[in-house]
Amino acid sequence: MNNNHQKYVRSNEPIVWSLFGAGGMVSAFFLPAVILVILLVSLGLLDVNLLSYERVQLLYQSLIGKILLITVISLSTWHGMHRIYHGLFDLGQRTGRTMTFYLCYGFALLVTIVGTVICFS
Amino acid sequence: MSEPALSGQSSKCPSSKRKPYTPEHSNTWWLKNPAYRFYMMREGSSVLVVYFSLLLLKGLFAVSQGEAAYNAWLGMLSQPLVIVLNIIALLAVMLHTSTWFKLAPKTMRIEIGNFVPSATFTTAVLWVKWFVITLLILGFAVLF
Repeated sequence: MNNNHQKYVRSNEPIVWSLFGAGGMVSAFFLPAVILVILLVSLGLLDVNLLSYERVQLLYQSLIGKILLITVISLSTWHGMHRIYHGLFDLGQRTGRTMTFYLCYGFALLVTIVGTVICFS
Repeated sequence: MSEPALSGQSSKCPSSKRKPYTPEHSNTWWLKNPAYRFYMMREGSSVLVVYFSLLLLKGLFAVSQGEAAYNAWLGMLSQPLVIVLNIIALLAVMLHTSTWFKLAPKTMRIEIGNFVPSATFTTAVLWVKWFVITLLILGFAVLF
């Protein structure tokens, strides 16, 4: 029914849910191997030179490397902050949800911006 | 009449007083059932994911700042606390991956022509892709 007195308020949920979904895929596929490499090197089971400055620089200087790093870091953070935002509701937070929304996703946005600036400035 | 005809009515305001149902909300509702506990554990994996992403961001910043800064970040990775957190993060991320792959096919309808894969089939395909990507990353790290 077309009610001219009621304003249809659109939710922000689809935007953050899409980022959550993308982050979920990226973190599911890429994070296990990355964590494993870092763990094996830091435990000495893999040669520490595999993560030497020269080798990581190659990744960091290349465009594909930058894009990969930004994508993994940023999208995983959006994924995590979405779960944290809704998780806080599950843990009982009922008031101040809007503030929590902006804090959680603002943090994810900040991580995205900081990562992009690091890579592309 | 002195007594209310319906149980929800009080004698003070006989025609309108009612006793609405207010369900109990406990912040520990999720402790009471294994399925709820598993759900909270799955959602809790997100904290470790954010932690590790921030660790990577710190490393990214270190790489941009030169060799000394990067080696300092490498040194931090060997701290016992960081190693413990990373082990927990690896377990958390594997929980995320396995639950994600089980759930993802249920959220979408896939039809490739006449072929409609079952949820189990799609999950298996996701795991195969995961295996290939993991091998690629490990191989790239070790061999390249």
